[in-house]
Amino acid sequence: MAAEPDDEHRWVERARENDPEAIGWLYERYVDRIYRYVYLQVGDPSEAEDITEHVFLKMIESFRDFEWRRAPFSSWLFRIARNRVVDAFRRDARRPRAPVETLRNVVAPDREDPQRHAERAEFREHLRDAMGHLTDLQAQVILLKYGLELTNAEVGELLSRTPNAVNALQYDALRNLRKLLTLKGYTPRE
Amino acid sequence: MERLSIQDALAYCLANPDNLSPEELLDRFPEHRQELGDLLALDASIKRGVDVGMAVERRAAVKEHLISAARAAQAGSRVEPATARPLAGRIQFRPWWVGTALVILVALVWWLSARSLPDSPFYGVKLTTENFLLNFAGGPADQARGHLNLANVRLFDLREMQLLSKVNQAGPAVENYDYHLGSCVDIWEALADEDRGALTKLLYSSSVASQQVFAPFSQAAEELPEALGTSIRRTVDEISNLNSETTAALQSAGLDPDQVLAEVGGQIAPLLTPVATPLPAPTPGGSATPTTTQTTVPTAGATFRVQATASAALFVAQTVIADSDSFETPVVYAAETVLAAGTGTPDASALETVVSAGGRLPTETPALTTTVVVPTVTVGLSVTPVATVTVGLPATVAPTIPAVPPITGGSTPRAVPITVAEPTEPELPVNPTIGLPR
Repeated sequence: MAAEPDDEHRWVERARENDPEAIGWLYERYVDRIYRYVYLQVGDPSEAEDITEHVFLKMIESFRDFEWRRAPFSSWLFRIARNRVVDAFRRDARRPRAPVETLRNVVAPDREDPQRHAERAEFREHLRDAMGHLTDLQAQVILLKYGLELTNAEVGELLSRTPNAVNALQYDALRNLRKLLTLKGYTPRE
Repeated sequence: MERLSIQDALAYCLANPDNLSPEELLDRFPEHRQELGDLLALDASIKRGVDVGMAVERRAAVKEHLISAARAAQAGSRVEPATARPLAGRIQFRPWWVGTALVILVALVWWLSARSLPDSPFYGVKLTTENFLLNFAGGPADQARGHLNLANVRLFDLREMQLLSKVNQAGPAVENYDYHLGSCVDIWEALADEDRGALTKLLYSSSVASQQVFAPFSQAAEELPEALGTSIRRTVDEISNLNSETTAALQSAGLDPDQVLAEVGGQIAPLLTPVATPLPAPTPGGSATPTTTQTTVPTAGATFRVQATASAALFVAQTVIADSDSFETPVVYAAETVLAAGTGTPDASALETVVSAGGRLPTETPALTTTVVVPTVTVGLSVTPVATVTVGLPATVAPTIPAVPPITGGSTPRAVPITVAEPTEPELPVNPTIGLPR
């Protein structure tokens, strides 16, 4: 959905009135990115689905607190997602993390070659493990860019960083990930 | 195309505003070709690898749930307009006392949170308040200083958790420290060279203090929950890198790091020394500690007093006995003192220390010392204790300890002298204030 900003503005205003159609529109627009962002952090599909649902429920609850400022609606929503993930980690701090094998348990989409699906799942394991060795900011940049598909400008807005700082973080993060993945014997390829 | 740094070249390639092929992108930056090629390949792998979505059925079910919730909200509740209603209109629907209770509750929560530590349920409120105040900082340099100040405050929180032997609950402080230090460093790196000077000095000082604070955490990392241990190890590495970078920056600017530390390290000076200061070793020929008061070793449940001049949020006194082989059962004294929050003006406050004990006392002179030390970590307040209580016997003093009967009900006094010494230590740590209104 490539709606113009003013289209989203109109949908958000209707959603604030609890218009079901508007709620559905926003959900369809953001659910995939929110889910991906959450899933990359928690590693468990079921938990990621639960948290994603909570993000949108929180969105509905908190519409009264939302104000149009310089940041777009998406930034507000992504902050909710980030806070929910942090809450989940704090709540589960003493529980063992979901075993990395669950990353394989994401059901293969229809028509995807099972071998290909397994390779991607294995890569996700390596990636998630490598991200654990990045600084928190570097990891956030990776999550925001690849999970939420944000531009560097949008990442900078969310993290309160200058564009130059985001570029530097992005470079450091990818360079470090490449080193870490290479150490594990994984060679990224086109 | 003008020569770009590798960071900017990578950003351009990943954004690909002109929709070029990978080969065309690399041709634009021949000086970075090799590295860019590797990173672009990684970028492609990540994009393929993270292309996941919710299960179709769950996706639909969640949407239905949300729509149902929206319909229920529409039907069952008063719909609040986007603009605020007049205050009078709201009060009309609430009992008069609700507003007062809310104000008191908010004030109480804020007061509790301002003094809270990572193991407190109010700690999140404290961190949120700090972040809120940071929004009012000025330009990037002011923002960076704000972040660094908050990182330094976290160092005091961490040291206090160490003193309380609650290292395993210090996770929120470690995370928040990481966040603020990382934010400061990112801004610092993005500043022009001519704007970095003052911040470099502050970062260097903070890195030295951080190394002191994190040293005991690092030693205990293996025994901590895995996530916290990993976080601490990573933080220690980052601090080490920061220390190296800022040292190099100072030296290349012709500055002496030690002098910089003396010049700008005032607020964090208390963090620059290890917290566990051992008692002075007894000197031959007599007791090392002057005796002002003699009293008996407290029995279980007994109390003794330590005078302290302070307005402070928290005092912790810990006593530990080093076990001797002559003990039939381990004797452990544990003392904990909490002083209620002061008024902000220095005044004399009495600490009551409850000492609990169990087991048998040794029947011969032990090589042990029980020390009650009053370390203090406060926020914005200065503390000067007036007494350090030393329970035990300096090794050079050779008294005979009368044999005492086993503890049966905790009521038999034990005639082992306690010396109460007047300390000569300088003032204890003062936290930097972060501008929170009191």
